[in-house]
Amino acid sequence: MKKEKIIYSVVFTLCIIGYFATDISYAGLVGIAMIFYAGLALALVGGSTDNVKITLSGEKEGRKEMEAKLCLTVENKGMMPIVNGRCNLEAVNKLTGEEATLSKNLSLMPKSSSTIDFSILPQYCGCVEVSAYEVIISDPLGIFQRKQSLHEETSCYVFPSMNQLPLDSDSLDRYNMESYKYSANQKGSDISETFGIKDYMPGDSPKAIHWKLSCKMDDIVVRELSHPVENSLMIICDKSLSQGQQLSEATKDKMTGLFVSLSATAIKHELHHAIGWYNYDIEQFQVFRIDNLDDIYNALPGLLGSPYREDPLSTVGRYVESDAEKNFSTYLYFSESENAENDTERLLNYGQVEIYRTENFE
Amino acid sequence: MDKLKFTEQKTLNKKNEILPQLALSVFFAYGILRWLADSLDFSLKIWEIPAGGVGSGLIYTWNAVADVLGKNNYILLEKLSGAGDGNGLFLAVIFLLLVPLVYYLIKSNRLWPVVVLLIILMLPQAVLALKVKKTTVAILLAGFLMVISFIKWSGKGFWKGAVFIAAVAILTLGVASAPGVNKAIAKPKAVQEINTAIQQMVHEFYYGTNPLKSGDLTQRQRDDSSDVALEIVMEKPQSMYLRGFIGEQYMKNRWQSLPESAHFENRELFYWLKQDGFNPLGQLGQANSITASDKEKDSVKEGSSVEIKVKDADKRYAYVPYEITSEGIQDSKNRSGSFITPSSGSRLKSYSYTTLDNSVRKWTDIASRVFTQADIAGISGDDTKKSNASQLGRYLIDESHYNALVYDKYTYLSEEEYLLLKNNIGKAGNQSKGHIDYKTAIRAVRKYLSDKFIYTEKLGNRNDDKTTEDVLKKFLESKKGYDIHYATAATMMFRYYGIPARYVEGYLVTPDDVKNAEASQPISISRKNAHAWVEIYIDGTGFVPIEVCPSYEGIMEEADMSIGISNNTLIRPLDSNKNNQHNSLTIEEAEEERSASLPIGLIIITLLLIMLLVLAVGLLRKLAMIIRERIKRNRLFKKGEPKLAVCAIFKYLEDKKLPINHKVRELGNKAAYSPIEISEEERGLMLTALKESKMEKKKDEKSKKNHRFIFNRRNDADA
Repeated sequence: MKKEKIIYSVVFTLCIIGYFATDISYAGLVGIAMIFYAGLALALVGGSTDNVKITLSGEKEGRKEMEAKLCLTVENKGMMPIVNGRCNLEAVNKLTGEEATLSKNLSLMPKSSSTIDFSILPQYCGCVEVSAYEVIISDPLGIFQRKQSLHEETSCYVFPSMNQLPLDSDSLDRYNMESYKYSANQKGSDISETFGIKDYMPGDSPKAIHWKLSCKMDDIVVRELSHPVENSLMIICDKSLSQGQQLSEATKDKMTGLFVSLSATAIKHELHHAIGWYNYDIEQFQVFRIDNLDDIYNALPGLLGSPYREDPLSTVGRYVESDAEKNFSTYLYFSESENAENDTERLLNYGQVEIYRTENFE
Repeated sequence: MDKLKFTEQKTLNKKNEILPQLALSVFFAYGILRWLADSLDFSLKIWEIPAGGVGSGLIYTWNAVADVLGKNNYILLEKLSGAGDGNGLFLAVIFLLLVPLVYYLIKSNRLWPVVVLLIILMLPQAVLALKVKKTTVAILLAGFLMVISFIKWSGKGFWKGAVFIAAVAILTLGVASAPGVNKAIAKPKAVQEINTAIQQMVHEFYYGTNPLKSGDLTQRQRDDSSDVALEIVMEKPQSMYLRGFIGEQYMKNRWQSLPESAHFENRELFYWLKQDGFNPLGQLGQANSITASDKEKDSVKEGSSVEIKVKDADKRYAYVPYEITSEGIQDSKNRSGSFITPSSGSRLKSYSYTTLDNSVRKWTDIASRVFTQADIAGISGDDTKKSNASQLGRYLIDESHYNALVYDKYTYLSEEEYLLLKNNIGKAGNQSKGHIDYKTAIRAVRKYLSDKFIYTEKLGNRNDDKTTEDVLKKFLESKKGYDIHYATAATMMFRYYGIPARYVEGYLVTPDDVKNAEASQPISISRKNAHAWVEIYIDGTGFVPIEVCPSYEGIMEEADMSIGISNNTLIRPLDSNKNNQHNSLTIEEAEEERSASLPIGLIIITLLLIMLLVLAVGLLRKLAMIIRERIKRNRLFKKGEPKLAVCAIFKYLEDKKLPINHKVRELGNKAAYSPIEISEEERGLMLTALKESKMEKKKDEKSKKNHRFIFNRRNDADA
């Protein structure tokens, strides 16, 4: 608009100069026409604003490299026609951070509506949020414009590729949550397994006395009981980025695909588990129990809609600080961070940790 | 891998895309053609399309362009032979070529080619000040703006934008036709004054200044700067009058040259005169060389070179003496033998020419020789004898043509001027056999001006508005002024006496300036040497300067007035055209645009029509919507699935607040909530109930109206 206004002003100035300084016969006529145009255009544009209603709708689910159809309905509720206008749209893939913009030209008679069809072509999985954030109403030459801010949104979840991963049954069976393990770090009250031995202290239960050892050691010793831990599995997706770390969209896409594929592979082997990640949008560590494929699909919106962010605290830190359940025996940690080993040290207090990277599956 | 991107749906309906582009191409192409036709003075009439062929039409067009440029701007283009009797077919072909060109420009989706095209069209028109009609301007610019809008919005909202732009154009034309506005657009006097002042400033900046202001008589004080105006190098130093600006038309407060069209019309005459060796610009010198005695012939015919470097003087005009030879000056334009200007755009900063000996100091002798020798030889102006005539004879034949032109152009006086002079200097004398005798006229003019006027170079403050002041009248009333006023009065007085006269501004190379000058050494001529004088046309001899300013008498060498220069002009056939009354100078004026003065009512009617159209379109749309809905509804009621139909009818009855009886309500609820299917019979029952409900409602409404009426009548009766 600024460029058009400058040109308009320059032309008008030239008309004035032409009228006063040259013999050009039509300079005055053009000047008058420009004044009338400005007046009518201002009236047209001024009378058209805040009367535009936008509805944005579209497919809720999509596939990578396939067009997801969207529909923009524009309604002019005012008495003035919208001779020319533009609706500005923005699409953001919340997972990968990609952005795209689109401007659609409009023209509407009073009390009428128009539907514009278009589509979005995502290359990677994620939650693609399409929003119409403003409508600009203008005269035919684009000199006078008024903006109307909007907040119409629609989302389309682009699912990742879900493939069976080449993991053997034996390695998966280790995570069978039907069996029990005992915590190596934590004492409990399960008499079937001894955590450790200590000297007898007043107050200890006589039933805990280890008579055999006490005889041998000429001192009374008691058994410490173990804490049984479910032989359960949690798969964590690391969405934190260390300072200066950058992940390409392809890597994010691949990580998400592998994360979901691993969960699907586990379910295929009837391995019930949980998946979790820190959602930076809602600032909450999300955990989903996965008992079947439908549970994966139900968890996908949360996964796809949570972005990657630079965070001084790692995902493990976020997990540990959160109220999420921590009694998993094994954690599979999906991360591209070089500090994943350091980050997961705290997690060792809770169970075994295995770190997976995308390069493991190339 | 590619990033996230939007993709557009391809339009399947190509017709909606192509139709506006085509319509716009035709409209804009028509605007362009009309613009060209207006500027170059063609007519665009459909029945003239068959006129001329394509090739001959092209030549016709070229020749017409040459005529227009020549008449308006004295741009001389060579005309071609082979022109047809019109260029209608050629213009039609141009139109057919313009349409696809414009279509391609629109399809290219780029703004800059369209802008460049518009600049190419408008710039020459603006620079050359060619006239175009208001409607043509409106059509071209409306088309241009529609193209801009189309490209900017990719065709979206094209028709609405086109209507908007057309409305602005119509409104502008309507308002522009109002008398006051029309006058303002055509530039009222105040604006014209500003225009002139600005153009003058620009000219002075580019060309330099003339101390005497090149014909502008509104100055109240003479410029007395002593900067060097010209630097002259003469092969043979001699005094001379260097003519620069020639005033041919008096316009109350200024002198100006004849319009370009007048000079253009004369170009053929001057071409043939030149071919014959006739030199109007240096006619005095030529007459001298032809009539010189055998003893003097060699020395008189021998020209000497003059080089001029213009320092602080006006570079719009060449400064040439009365004795310049026919070669003239290179890269310049000779305006009908009156004055010389540069070729378009350039300035005359330095130039050279050849001049003969000073003939001004003996012009009376030259004139006398011409008359005498012509008489003796029995030479007449009969062209059939041209090939056998002597040099003098040929010269006089050519001179007779030039003579007729001079009398036609340079004896004009308006009624007002004639009366003014009559009231001030008395009668014009007996001009039944031609103009007043030269000597008598010269003496009368000089005596009148020296006796009754005071030479002063400072006139004090102005009392009148300089834009409307008649300088001649003011001078004759106030009796004071300086050389520009004297020269103006003298020019008009000579014309009053029937002698062709012109106002001249230039520089005097005085005898004092050349007294000690050496050959081929530069002589500096100061701005103080600038002078205005009158030059009169002596039959057979040419224009000669006449000094009428008493304070300038004696500065330049004067001709001996005692040598007879009588009124016995050479008899020639063209003399019968000479009119001893003041002639109306047929100065061609540029064709004024006659705008049909549309009444202001038309503006209002146009706006009302537009509003009505918009309203009508809105109403029609609404009506169409209602009809569409009704059809849809009836289709559902009668042909839709029975359960749906009954539901819809019931809802309709409720929405319209039509009477619903118990059975209908039961049926409606059954259709809406029960799983039982509805039969066609039940649908039929519902349709009948709908019809009856409508009729009942109508009856109710009617009876309510009647009751109201009865109630009112009762009230009236009570009252």
